[in-house]
Amino acid sequence: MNAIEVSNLKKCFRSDKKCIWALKGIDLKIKKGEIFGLLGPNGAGKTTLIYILSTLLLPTSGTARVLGLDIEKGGDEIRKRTGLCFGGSFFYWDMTAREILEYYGRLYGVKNPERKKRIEYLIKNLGISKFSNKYFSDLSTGMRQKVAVAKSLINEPEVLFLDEPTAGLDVEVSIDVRNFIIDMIKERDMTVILTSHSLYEVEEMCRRVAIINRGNIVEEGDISDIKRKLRIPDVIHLYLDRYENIGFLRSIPGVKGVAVTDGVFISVDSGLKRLNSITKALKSRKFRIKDLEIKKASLEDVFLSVIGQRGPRHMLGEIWRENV
Amino acid sequence: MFEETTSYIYKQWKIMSRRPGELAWIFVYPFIGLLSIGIYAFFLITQGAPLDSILYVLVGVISWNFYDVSQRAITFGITLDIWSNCLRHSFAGNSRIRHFILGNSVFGLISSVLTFFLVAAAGLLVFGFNLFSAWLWLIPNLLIVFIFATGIGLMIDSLLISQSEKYMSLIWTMTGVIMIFSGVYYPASVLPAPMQAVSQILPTTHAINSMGILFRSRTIA
Ligand SMILES: Nc1ncnc2c1ncn2[C@@H]1O[C@H](COP(=O)(O)OP(=O)(O)OP(=O)(O)O)[C@@H](O)[C@H]1O
Ligand SMILES: [Mg+2]
Repeated sequence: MNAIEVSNLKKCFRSDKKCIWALKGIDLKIKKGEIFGLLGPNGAGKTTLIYILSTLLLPTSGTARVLGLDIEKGGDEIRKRTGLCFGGSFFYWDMTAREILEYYGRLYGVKNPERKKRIEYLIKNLGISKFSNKYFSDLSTGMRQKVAVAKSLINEPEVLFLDEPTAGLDVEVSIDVRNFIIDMIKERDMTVILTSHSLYEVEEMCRRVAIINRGNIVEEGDISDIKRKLRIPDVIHLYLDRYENIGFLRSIPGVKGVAVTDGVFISVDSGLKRLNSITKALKSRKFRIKDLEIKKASLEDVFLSVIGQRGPRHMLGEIWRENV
Repeated sequence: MFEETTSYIYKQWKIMSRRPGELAWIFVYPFIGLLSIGIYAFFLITQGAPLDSILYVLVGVISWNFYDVSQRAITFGITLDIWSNCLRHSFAGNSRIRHFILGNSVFGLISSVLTFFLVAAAGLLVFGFNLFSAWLWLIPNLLIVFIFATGIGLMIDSLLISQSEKYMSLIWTMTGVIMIFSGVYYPASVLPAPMQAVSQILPTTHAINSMGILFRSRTIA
C-alpha cells in the first residue's frame, strides 16, 4: 500500500505573466511506513512538492494522492491526518512553548485528556521541559525547532512532512531531534518524507531517496542501488610497509584506480567484495598491510554526481592512475 | 468542533492579554474616542449647539467601538499569524473556515461587549446617561453592527489570503471609510447626496440611527 502517489505533477509560479516551473512532471510512489528522503540543491522544488502534498498549494497539473485521498478533493482529511514541520519555523512570539502546543492541539481537534497527555509526552521526550513555560520569543533556534517538531506530531499524523527539520541546529540538538523522530516512527506506523541538506541525516534516516534538480526527479531508489547504478566507487585505503611496484593492483577485477599519496588508495566497485582479493594479492607478493580502511561512497558523492556539479571525491581514479 | 473553535479564542486571548497594544483596543482607544469627541461636543454645546449633541457622541463611540473591536478580532485571526510568520501552520490544521469564523467572531463579540460595558459605565459616570436602561433595544442593533463588521473583516481576510498581505492596511482604512458613511457622530442626512446613496445601503447607518433616535426621544421625554 502506498502512502503517497504522485503522477506527472507540475507546478508553475506566475510572475509577470511568465511561468516559473518549480515542478516539471514529478512521478513518485512512497510506501506506508517508509522514511523517504528528498534531496536537491536550493530551488530544486522540494518545498513546493511538500506544500502540494500537504495541500497548502494546488498543483498546476497532474495528480497526487496522500493516504489514498486526492490532494484536490480530500484536503480536509489529508490536513487532519498529516503533520508538517519546517526548518526555521516561527510561532507566536508571546505564547509559551506549552501554550503553542495547546493551541495546535486544539486546532487539530485533539480532545482532553488526550491532548494533555500528548503535550506532556512531547515536552518530556523532546527535551522541552526546561523551557516549556518560556515565551517563544525567548527561545533559541534549537528550542524553537523542537517546538516545531512537537507541533508536527501533536495530531499523531500518519504521514509526516519534514522540510529541513534540523536546519540551523547544532549536532547535539540535531541528533536529539532525529532520534526522537526515529523512535516515533518505530512506535507508530508513520510515513515520513524528509528533505534535508544534511546528506548524512538522509543517509542515516532513509533507505530510499529521490534526488530532485530543477523540478525533475533525476534519480530515485534505494541509496545503495543508486550508488551501484552510478558506479560510484568505494575506496580501500591501505597503509603498507612499502609502495614500490604496486601497479599490479589495477589488474585485479573490480579495481578502477590506484593512487599512492598518504598510503595507497584503491578505488573499487564494491569495497567489501574486493577486499579479499586485494589483500590476498598483496600478501602473495610479500607486502605487509599495516592499516586498512574501507571508505564507502557517501550520499554526498551520489548527490554531487547526479546534479552534475562536480565529480565526486572518490571518482578521482583517473588522476590516481597517472600517479602510480 | 469545540476544540477547533476555542483554539482561536485561546490564541487571541493569550496574545492580547500580553500585548499592551492589543489590550488598548478595549481599554484605551474607546476612551480616547469618548474624551476627544465628547469634549468637542461640550465645546459645541457652549457655542449654542443642542444639548443632545452629546448623545451622538455616546451612541457613536459605543457603536463604533463595537464595530472596530469586532472587525479587529476576525482580521487579527489572520494577521497575528502573518506577523508571527506562521500562517502556513494554521492552514495545516484540522480546523475549517466555520471554526475560524465562529472562534474569532465569538472572541470579537466578547471583547466588543466588554468595551460596551466600559464605555457605557463611563457614560453613566461622566455624562450621567444610563445606556443600560435600553438594553433590549441595543442588543439587536449592536448585533447588526457586529455582523456587518465581521463580514467586512472576512472580506479583508480573503483578500489577505488570496491576494496579498498588502491588503492589511484595509483593516484600518475600511473602519474609517465605513465610519464616515455610517453617520456615526452625526445624522447621515447631513452627508452630500451621492454619499447618502452609499450610506443608505450600509446596515450600520440604520442600526446606529435607530439607537440614536431612541436615546434622543428618551431624553426629551
Ligand atoms: N511563491 C512562489 N512564487 C514564485 N516562485 C516560487 C515560489 N515558491 C517557490 N518558487 C520557485 O520555485 C522553485 C522551487 O522552490 P522550492 O522552495 O520548492 O525549492 P527547494 O527545493 O525547497 O529549495 P531549498 O533547498 O532552498 O529550500 C524556485 O525556483 C523558487 O524560486
Ligand atoms: Mg525548501
